[in-house]
Order: sequence, then structure tokens, then C-alpha cells
Amino acid sequence: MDEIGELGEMLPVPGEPRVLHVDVCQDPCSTVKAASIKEHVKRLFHKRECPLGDMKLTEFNDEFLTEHVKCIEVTDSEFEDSTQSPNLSSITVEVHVYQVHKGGPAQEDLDEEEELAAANHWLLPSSDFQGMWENLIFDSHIKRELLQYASTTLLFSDCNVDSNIITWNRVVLLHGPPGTGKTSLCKALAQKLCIRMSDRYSYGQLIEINSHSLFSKWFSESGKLVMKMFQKIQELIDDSDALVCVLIDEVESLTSARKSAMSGSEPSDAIRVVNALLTQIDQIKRYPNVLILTTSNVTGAIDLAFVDRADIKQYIGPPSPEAIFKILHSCISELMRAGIISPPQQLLDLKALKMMNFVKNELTSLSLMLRQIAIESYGLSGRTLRKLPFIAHATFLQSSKVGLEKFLSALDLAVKKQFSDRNDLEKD
Amino acid sequence: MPFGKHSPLTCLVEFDGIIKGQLRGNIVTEMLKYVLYQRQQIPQTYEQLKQQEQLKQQEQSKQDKQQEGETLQLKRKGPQKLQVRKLSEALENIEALFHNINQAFSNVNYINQVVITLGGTPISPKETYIIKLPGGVFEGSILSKKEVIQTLFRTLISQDLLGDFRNMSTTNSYVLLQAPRNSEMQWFEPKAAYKLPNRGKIIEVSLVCNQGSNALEADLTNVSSSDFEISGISPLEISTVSTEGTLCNSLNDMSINDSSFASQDVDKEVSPNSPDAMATSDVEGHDSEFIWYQAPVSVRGFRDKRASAKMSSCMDIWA
Repeated sequence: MDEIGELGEMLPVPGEPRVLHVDVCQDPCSTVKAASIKEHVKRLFHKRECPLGDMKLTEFNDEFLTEHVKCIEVTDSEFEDSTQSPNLSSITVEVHVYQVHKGGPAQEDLDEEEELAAANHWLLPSSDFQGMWENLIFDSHIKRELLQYASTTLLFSDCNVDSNIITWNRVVLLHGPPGTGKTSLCKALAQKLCIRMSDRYSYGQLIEINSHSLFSKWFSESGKLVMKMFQKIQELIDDSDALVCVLIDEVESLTSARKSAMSGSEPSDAIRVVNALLTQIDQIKRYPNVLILTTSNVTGAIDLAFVDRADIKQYIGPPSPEAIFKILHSCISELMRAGIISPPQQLLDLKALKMMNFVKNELTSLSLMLRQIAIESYGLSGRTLRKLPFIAHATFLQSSKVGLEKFLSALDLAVKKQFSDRNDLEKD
Repeated sequence: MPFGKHSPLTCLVEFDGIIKGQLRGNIVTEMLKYVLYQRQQIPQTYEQLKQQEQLKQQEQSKQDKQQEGETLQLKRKGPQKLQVRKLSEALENIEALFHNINQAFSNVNYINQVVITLGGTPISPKETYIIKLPGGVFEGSILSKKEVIQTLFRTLISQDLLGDFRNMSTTNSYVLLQAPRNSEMQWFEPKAAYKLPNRGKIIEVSLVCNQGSNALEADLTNVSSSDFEISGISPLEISTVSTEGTLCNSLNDMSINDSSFASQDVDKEVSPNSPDAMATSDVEGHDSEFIWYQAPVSVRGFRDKRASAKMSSCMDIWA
């Protein structure tokens, strides 16, 4: 028996099959079929034992690729933490080819007379959301879990799982303090899903509902407006070739807790809106090609019936020091690219620092300094962090070119200023 | 029917002769002008707008000459300026569209359908105008531009295609052309995944050249008088329609006509996906070879605020 146990250990771990997702952005003017691009990209990956981490290729040796492909990207590869680098034979490479739509958002109005747009409407993959996913940095595996959620939803729909026995509502609720990237994550997720599922859905749509436009000036009309909105969405869903993502930002304004409305402070019209929305969501969940993404800051104010419908209630908190380091690192790389920090110097990432056991020497001193700043700025939101380099430059530098060390010390000052500003605000 | 709520409005325009390459482009641009004006996307006809713009430019240059040396006078008021900018932007886009549509028709021989969509995005339009261009007949007299445009508009207006339509708010207009995947289309961006929408109103204008083939003509009138859509004329739609048994024969006749048209055009330059192969292969294979190309600019509709203000003041007098 023991022998068998040993044999089992020698066999490759049966765990999850490893899939490397490669996203290929096809040139907007290219008319080649996706299949032939896929072939070339696969050949590229098999030929060279390229690093299997996250990367972005924009130049190719292959002439065919140069002509037809804008960039090849690998993101969220799951091999970063594993110690041994996997060889290509053990993983499957999945190539997703897409072309971006250039037009910005289109407005969707409910009333012919009303000039106000009730929703913004994007064709996905849109050029507006390019690069958003890669630059959203979260701690745990939030991004991967969201993608997996979507693929499970699809799998269940595909296998015709009886929705009377197992229900899933296609509703994702992201909540957390302001500025942590909830809305951006929703948009980026919609974009990524469209890319990953390009084989199955020929295009995607993102509808961002303007919650306030759904309230009518006429008493009792608001519920109808919600209905109208969902009728429009229904029309889009009817095209089974399209993946429809509905984004309801600040969902608490549409689904304010009915209980508190009962107490009399809210007009009963608000209750009707909640009811209409809940019933519409129940209607919509029958369709396999729809996903409802919602965000909220004040979870306490959301109606319980809505919270109950959400399949994933993901808390998105302020970033951890590691995530902060990554964010600041990417900011500084961008400034180096733009030539504001010059001469460009190499900043090590956390993995490399860890390998050196955080020992201070010539090579690591600047990176360690950045790490210190990252630790200090724990508690700041993602939005604040992204503007920190800007504030550092505006308040403490002012010259068109700075050295990295000088910039880092300015960044440090900016972090301290953020905290003291926050304290002042609290005092008032 | 493949269409949900709204079955398409159809209109058959018959020409007694052949329409040569460049004229096909002219048909499309004229249709675009017609649709833009009739559906309230531009406040005046394209020609009028253009004239206005030219007059304004002349005036402007005159004024500039007068003002030389003098101190600058107060410029026009804000909203008026915005109007002018909107007008010139729309005109610029329309002209770019016209130029490139004509260019496309002279470069690419076998554009078989054109779509004009009005609405937020080309995939969710409020109204879709499908123009099916003629293919097929090669015998007969070559029509002049005047004859073609006259026939087109006589039919459009006598059939009163847009008569019952309600006024529309301003929105975006997109133009898409359908051509083979391997064609050398320029400026227009390929949208391989695009397919005709089934949202909103759909208006189909089928252009047919039907000289010298009376049998075909008879078939066509049969088709249009029955409930079936006449879209069978283009090879793209055949796969969807050909299930209706009796139609098959006539449609297949036409599809062969279509492909022979294409093959004659390309005979000189032999390409790997040569149309000869397409002509013999079944319709399915042919189908996938045609993809849509979208114009990279759209026309944003606009209203003439001043004109509508004038109108309402006139109304006040009568009230």
C-alpha cells in the first residue's frame, strides 16, 4: 500500500489543468480570420520558451504577426508564485483574438422627448477600457475569482443545469470604501470577459445605467422607467451573439432598503423602483448571455432582497502594502516612459527584493525606499495612490526632469501630506 | 421571419439597364443624403447646407480682409458659434464619407450591400437602411447618372417609404459596406463580427437591373408580392431563405448570376480565393467570404436651433 502511495506522489498532480490565457489584439484594419492568427501565436509560444509570467509583446519576428497584430498580452498568469517554472508541455495555451471598437460611449435615452441619457452604452472590447484590467491591482485573487465566476455561469448555462434546482442570479455586487476601483473593475471585467469569450460571443455590450435618470418627476412613473430601461436591455440580450453586461453604479440609490422607506421618510415611489428592479432582475437571469455588475459604498442602505440576489458579494478594501508597491511601481515606470523621471533607473519588484532578503545595497536601496513609502501609505485608497505621483510633482518638485531619488523623497512627503490633510479634515 | 417585432419595410427599385461601378457609389451617396435629411439628422438638405457653408466662408474671408489693420470686432455669440462648428463638423464628416464611398466603389468591384444605421451604435440602431445593390445582368444599355437617380427617387417617393415615420431626435449615423474578406478595402474598418441588426425599424431598398431576363423579373415580382422578403437577391441571405422550397430555384439562378458577375470582374487578377471557386462551391462557403466594413467616421445629427426658434416665433403669430 505504501508503494502505491509513493507512486501517487510521483505522478503529476492531477489538480486543475493549467491554462495560459493569451490575449491578442488584432489590428483594426486587418481582415485575417482569427483562426490563422491563433495558429501563428501558438507557434510563437511553442517555438520559444518565453517567460510565462505576465508580459506584453508589441514587436514580433513573424512578419504575419507584425502585419496583423497590435499586441499580445499575458495577464494574471497563475505561475508567479510557483517556484518551479512550468514547461509548456504541461499547460495549454488558449489564445483569444479580438479587435477593439473605437467609438466612445453612445447614449441611450428612454423618452423621445427627454434629452437626458438614461444609460451609456459601449461596444466591447472598447478602446476606452484598454489596459484597465492590467492596471487594476488587488490583493487576493479577486480578479481571477470574478473571471471564474463568469465562466462557471456560462458552464452551468451550457450544460442546461436546471435553474429550479440550482439557482444563480448573474448579479455581482462589489462594495467597499470609495476610490478602491470598484467601478473600474466592473468595466474592466466586462472588457476582459468579452475578450476571453470572443470565440463564443461575437461582441459585447456594456450598459452603464444612470440610476438617477430612472426616477420620474411624475409620481408612480419611476417604476415604469425601470421597466422601460430593462426592455431596452432585453432587446440587446435577444441577440444571442452578444454578451451583455449591465453596470449599475451606486446601486443603493436604486435599491434603497424598503424597510427604511416604510418609516415614511421616503416616498412610496422609491419602493416601487426597488420592486421593479428586483422583478426585472428575476426576469433577466433566465438568459445565458447577461451579467449584472453593481457597486456600492453604503451596503447598509441596500435592500436585503437585492443583497440576497447577488451571487458574489465581494468586499474591495484599500490596497495592502504589496499592492501599493505595485501601484507606485507602475506609476514610476510610466513617468520614466514619459521622460519626467530621468535618467531611467531600474526599480526591482517585490519578488526580486524578497529573493535578496531585503538587504540594502546599491542596487536595492531605491527599491527599498519605495517599499518603505508603500508601507507608510497603507490606508490610502487606490484612487489616491494613483494621483500621488502627480501631487508629489505639483507640490514638491515643479521641474520638468527629476532624478529618481529626488522624486521618491517628494513622494514620501506627499504621502505624509495626505495623512495630515486627512487628519485636518477629521478635526473640522 | 428572422426579424422580431418589426418586419422590414421593403422597396424594390428596378432599373432598365446596367449600372456601372462609379454610379453604384453615387446611388449610395444620394441615398445617404436623402436619409440624413428625411430623418431630421441635418436641418436642411446637404446641398443647401453646403451652399450656406460656402457663402459663410466667402463672407468670412471678406470680413477678414476688411478687418485687416482695424481692431478686432466682437466675435459672434457663443451658441451661434457652436452651431457653426457643428455644421462644419457634420459637413466635413459627410464629405469624407462621400469621398471614401466613391473611392471604395471604384477600387472594390463587388460591394453588394450597404447599410446606413441611425442610432447610438451600429449594433443598436433605431433605424436601419439596407441598400442591396444590383448584380447579375450584363446585357442591356448602360444607364446614365441622371436616369439612375431619377428612377431611384421616383420609386422611393412614389412608394412613400418614410411617410408614416415619426420625427426622430438627432443621433449618430453610421455607414457600412459589405464586401469580400480579401478585398482591398481602404479607410473602412473591417467588422467581421457585424451582422444586420434586428432592433428598431428596418428598411430594405433592393436595387435590381432587370433587362433582358424577363423570366427573372417575373420571379422577382412573385417573390415581392408574396410574404417573403426579397432579400434573396443577394447571396448572403440565401442560406436563410432557401429553406422555403419553391423559392429555391429562382434564388439559385440569381446567385449564379451574382457570382458570375464577380468572376467576370476579377478574371484578370487571379487570386487564391478566386471567385471561380466561389461560383461552383455551395452558397454556405460563399457566405462567409463577405464581411462588413464600417466607416471610421459617423455623422452626428444636429438641429438648427436658430431656425427652430424662428419657426416657433412664426407659430406664435398664428396662435
